[in-house]
Amino acid sequence: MSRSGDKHSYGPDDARVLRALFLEEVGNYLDRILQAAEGFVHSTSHPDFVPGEELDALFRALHTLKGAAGSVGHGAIAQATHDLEDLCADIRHGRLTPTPGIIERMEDELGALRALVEGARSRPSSGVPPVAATAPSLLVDRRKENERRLVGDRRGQDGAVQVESSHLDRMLEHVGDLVVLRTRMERALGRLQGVRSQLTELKSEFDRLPEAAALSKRLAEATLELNDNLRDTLSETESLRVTTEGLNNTVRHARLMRVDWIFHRLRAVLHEAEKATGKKAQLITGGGNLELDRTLLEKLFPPLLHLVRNAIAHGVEFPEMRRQAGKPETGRIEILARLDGDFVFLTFSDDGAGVDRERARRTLIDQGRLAADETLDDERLVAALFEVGFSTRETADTMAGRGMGLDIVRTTVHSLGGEVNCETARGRGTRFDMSFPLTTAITEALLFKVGGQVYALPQSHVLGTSPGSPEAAAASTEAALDLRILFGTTASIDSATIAARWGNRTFSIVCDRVIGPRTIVIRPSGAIIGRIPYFAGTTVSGSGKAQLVLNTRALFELTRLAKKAGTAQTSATL
Amino acid sequence: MDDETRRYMVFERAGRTCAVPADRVAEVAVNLHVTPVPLTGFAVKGLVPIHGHPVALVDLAAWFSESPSPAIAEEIVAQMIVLHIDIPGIVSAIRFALIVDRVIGYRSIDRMAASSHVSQIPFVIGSSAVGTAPDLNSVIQIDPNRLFMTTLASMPAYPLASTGL
Repeated sequence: MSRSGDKHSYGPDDARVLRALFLEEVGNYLDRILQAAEGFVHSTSHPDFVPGEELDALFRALHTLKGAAGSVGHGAIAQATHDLEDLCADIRHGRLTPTPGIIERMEDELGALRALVEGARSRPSSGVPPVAATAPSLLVDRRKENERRLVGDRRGQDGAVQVESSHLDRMLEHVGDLVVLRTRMERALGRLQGVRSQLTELKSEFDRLPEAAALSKRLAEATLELNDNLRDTLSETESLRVTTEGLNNTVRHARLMRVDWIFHRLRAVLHEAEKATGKKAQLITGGGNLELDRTLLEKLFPPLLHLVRNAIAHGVEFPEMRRQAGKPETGRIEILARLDGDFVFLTFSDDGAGVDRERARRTLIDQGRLAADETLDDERLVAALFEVGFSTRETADTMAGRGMGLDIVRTTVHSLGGEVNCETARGRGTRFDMSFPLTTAITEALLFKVGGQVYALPQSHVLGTSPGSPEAAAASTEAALDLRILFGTTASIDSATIAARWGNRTFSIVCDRVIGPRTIVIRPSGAIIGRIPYFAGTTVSGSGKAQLVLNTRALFELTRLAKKAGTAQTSATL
Repeated sequence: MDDETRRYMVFERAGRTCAVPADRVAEVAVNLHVTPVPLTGFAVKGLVPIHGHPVALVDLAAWFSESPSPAIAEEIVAQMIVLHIDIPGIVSAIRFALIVDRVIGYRSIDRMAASSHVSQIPFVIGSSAVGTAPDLNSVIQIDPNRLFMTTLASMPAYPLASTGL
């Protein structure tokens, strides 16, 4: 893995480009806030209203805009979102009831925030740190060069065009339609091959009848023609398969951007956080040349932004304190990205003070989340860090103290189907390990049967298959999940085991029968079936039947829960 | 048209005449293969592919009967109404389908208070006996948004909540 230290100094041109990027995205941030606010207002109309997920969603959306605005020096927007957060905090803690008057106040404040955002977008140069006198053309060239570097050589290159990512999304959907069409054609061809076999058998029957010689000859000619057409169509279907795969790879490649794109933006976040607090830190990054889907990178920016701000606000000590503790005055924040198979691993660490366990314990007791005589073990401490509203700070400012940042980290990583773990050591720092799968809409999957139904599992999560009993599966791996028990299907004579992996861990899935690998197009299962955590989506087979795609992480978590509960096999109650 | 009179699509299911607002009806689909979904809500009968996209199939009969209707085996459902809904700030452009025994057609129906025991069902917003649908004895008027929310609320609790799934 290549590592880059803080070689790239953060300068005025960077600030300008990053502000431009912020202004490009701020509309999306605002839309998310307005949508969350609408959901919250809708929830308050319920007679038994209690602040819940709708308010948390609004809080998360506000907190992300606050962090993003603060990181590029848009203090007024950061302050306006901070004020709205105050209002939300008062509602959450029961200090305010969302009466029509309070809702009206919230709407007024949202209107003011929208005006600030629109003002910033219409005057993009306002508030930009003055750049030293430079020849305009040279400045433009430098800005272009900077922007090119920041977006991972994907924009502004000679001969390149900028494409809205939504257009690429639609192209991928069309490629998915092509894959489905090809599957249907293959199925239709399979049926035609069956017809050819029947015709050949019929000809053999006619051959035995001398009086049907003329008929047999005509049948032979028709079979021959069918054969020629079948061969041509099979060849064209194969060409269609190759072309579809090529198109899929090209479109997916067009969506890739270097992880450096995020790292550069995080330097701006760090720079602003240093200015706001008087602390110093160096950002060390690794894996910046890794290329990931732009949508994924865009989703990863807010949690990393909050981790950087949290590291400065809570972790890295003031220079004087670090000196007294025998540490360099400048703190160290390290972010490493790596790809292993179809999994992305991100490690974020700082060499700061770590979490003050005693202070965290007192906060939890004060908030009624921990009994006074209860000890705070590592597991409970880490769980508390990710809880909404937990902060060891007594007051909130525009940098930290809401207890929202880590909730955003967890929510985002979970929404990507991944997981996040945290370790902290007093005086030595805090480390977050995140991992998530690289799932794509068009993918290779292993098909198998349970209770007469066909299910799919992403092939990249499959280590191997074998015929065998659940007992054998349980013995050969650390944990096994019998889907027949989980899905409540009737017992089958057949039995097969799929060895699967989730991240670095392996487990076994027991089913009735393995069908084999296929290229599938995964579609969302919709708002109702999408609530069931065991399914990652749905694919439609060549014969037009819906088939459920299993969520590997959910299955793995089930095995873990079952193991924790002390059962060898996951029971239907799970 | 009076505020209390709306166009509805009227259909039969499990011996009852029901109606959904016409502007919520995306299409009527026929002869589609249903894939049963394990561990789902008692009224969700599975997934149907509508133009290549999976759509949840809901059976009103599960709410009308005293006991939950048995899960269907893999089968073809002859007729279903595909609904589309928007709930501001919560969901947008959601589609789901209702199993129907027979589509009667579009009618203008007066909204009246539900009087029978179905009024206990959260998504039933009224029942009409006369109005401009004289051929119908009693029509159960259904709010698709509430039906969607009720269906979600009827989904079982899954043990993975602590993992964020």
